[in-house]
Amino acid sequence: MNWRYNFCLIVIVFAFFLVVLRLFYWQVVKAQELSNLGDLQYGSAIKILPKRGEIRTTDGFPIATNKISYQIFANPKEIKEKQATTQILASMLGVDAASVSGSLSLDRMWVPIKSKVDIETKQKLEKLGLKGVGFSEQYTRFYPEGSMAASLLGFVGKDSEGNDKGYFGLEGFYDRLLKGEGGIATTVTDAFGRPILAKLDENSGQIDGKSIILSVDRSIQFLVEKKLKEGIEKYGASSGMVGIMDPKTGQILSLASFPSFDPTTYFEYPQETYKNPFISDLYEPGSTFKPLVMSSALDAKLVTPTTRCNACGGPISIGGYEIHTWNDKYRKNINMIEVIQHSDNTGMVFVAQKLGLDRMINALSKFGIGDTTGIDLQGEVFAPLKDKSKWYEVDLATTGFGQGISITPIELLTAIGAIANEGKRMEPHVVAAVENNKGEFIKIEPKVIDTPINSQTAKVMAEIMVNAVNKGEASWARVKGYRIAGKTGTASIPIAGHYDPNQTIASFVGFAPSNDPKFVMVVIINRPTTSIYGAETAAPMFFDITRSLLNYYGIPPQGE
Amino acid sequence: MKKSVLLIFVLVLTVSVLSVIRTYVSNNIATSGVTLSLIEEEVASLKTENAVLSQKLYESSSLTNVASKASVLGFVDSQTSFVLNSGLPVAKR
Repeated sequence: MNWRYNFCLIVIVFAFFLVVLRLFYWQVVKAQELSNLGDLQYGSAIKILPKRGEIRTTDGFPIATNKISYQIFANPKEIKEKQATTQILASMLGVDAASVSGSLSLDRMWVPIKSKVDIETKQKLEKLGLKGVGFSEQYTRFYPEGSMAASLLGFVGKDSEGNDKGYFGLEGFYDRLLKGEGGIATTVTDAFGRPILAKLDENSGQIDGKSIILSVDRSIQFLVEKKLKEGIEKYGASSGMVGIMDPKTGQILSLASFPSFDPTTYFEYPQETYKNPFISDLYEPGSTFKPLVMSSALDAKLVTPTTRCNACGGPISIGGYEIHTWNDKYRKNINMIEVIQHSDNTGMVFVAQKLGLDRMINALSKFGIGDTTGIDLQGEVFAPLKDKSKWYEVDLATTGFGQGISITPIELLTAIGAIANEGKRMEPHVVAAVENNKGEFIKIEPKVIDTPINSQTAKVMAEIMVNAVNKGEASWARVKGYRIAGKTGTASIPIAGHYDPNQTIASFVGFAPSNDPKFVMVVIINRPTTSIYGAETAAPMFFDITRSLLNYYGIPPQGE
Repeated sequence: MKKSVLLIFVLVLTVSVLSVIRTYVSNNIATSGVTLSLIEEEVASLKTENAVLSQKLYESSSLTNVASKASVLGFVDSQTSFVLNSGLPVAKR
């Protein structure tokens, strides 16, 4: 009897143990999975993607915004006529039939077919009522002006996790601000999948990206890009760029470069076109650099406009090198006004030597040379000034006329802007304000970085530059009736230890009207073939754009 | 009536009234899912329509588009400009 009792007890205990084990499996091991399955039966969690902020010009027009597109997906298990569905999807979406067929043959409930499909195609496909084919709405970046200001804007690509990410320019620099934050929305539904009002949870935590308002004027940008393309074609140049800034605030009014790319189809263009050469390319500025050195010497009272150069009668020999003027014409005892007017290299060597190495390095640093300008764009580079111990005698001399020193065009623009702005160098800015999600605008205030020269010196230098425009090599192209300050530049290009004898970088810097500047501009033409000189290529482009800008701003002639 | 009995009566009455209200409201909104679903669909549809129209508006009003249409219609850039100056004061002539 006793053994039967024990046997029953063991069987019952064992059975209980099995039940406990099974319960442990379902309630502990599989708990999360079952919980998720349960949730799916009465509700759904949707990932809410934030809407990327817009980039608007001064007139409020969005040059970068978002447009609705669709992702087409399919549930292969629901599709019975796979052959026919494949043919329809392939022909309507322009996708390879083999790829669609491959996706539809997978043993899954969701396969992507194509993303970024426009609304017209989606509507046509929807009308066909294909079973097992679905659509999900998505936002893609849209640039209404096409490739306008592309190098300024940058583009939106994907990061390693497949999320949108801005690269280069404004999209890159302000990516964190523009992209916003994603969220998760939970909706509880009834047996038919309809949402239950009392259980709707709208607290998704999603925050749309903020919009940024640029100081860039769309009309000026359009005009400048048109003139730049025409100029590059006319002068047979390989590339070119134009930057225009308000010298009083540092706000960038236009920044154009060519060749460029289309931010929507950026992947079809060479990667070299993505960077903005105005902030990312170093070059030797040549004679456009002379006003900086001259104004520094004037400010230090080492020379006056009437100081005569006693070393300008012929080429100057320094450290084994012979320095010539650009046209090998020499003028004995010319004054400083004429040195700038004729762009005399020997005159600038005279000024540089008067200035000396310590003062030269100090003056250039105050003008922002050898450092980043702080512009709010991704990709700014700079070449630091050499250590004092590494300067040779000839380096000081060549720096006087802008050779042997590398800068970016934005450095030159802000430095010349200081001469136009009573000696105050402003921090350049492309964004004028940020609009938050409440529709409030946060303005970015102008910032003075340094004061390299005093206001009196700035006025004198401006007058010297006006004289250079009216009587210099480029006077034939000037806008008559206006006082415009400017300086030509024809910079040699260093290659393999020497300068290219046949190719140059032609440029022109200036501001107008000289007494109350509305804008400061740098025009750079890379390797022009019709003429190597800035006075014959970049200068006419500068004055052509200036003429249009003076008209645009409604500034009447005041006499030269 | 004793104070405690009155208190219990008030509490029971409050609970009963609130229960009835809750049942009534729950019953009423239980079937609102259909309406909510329709409203949500309409909101989504209007948002989509709004975005599509905005896109068309931006495309049409872009300077690139306006300039190309102007060119087709025969408009050209003005090559000349004139300025109206007020004459010099008599004393300065």
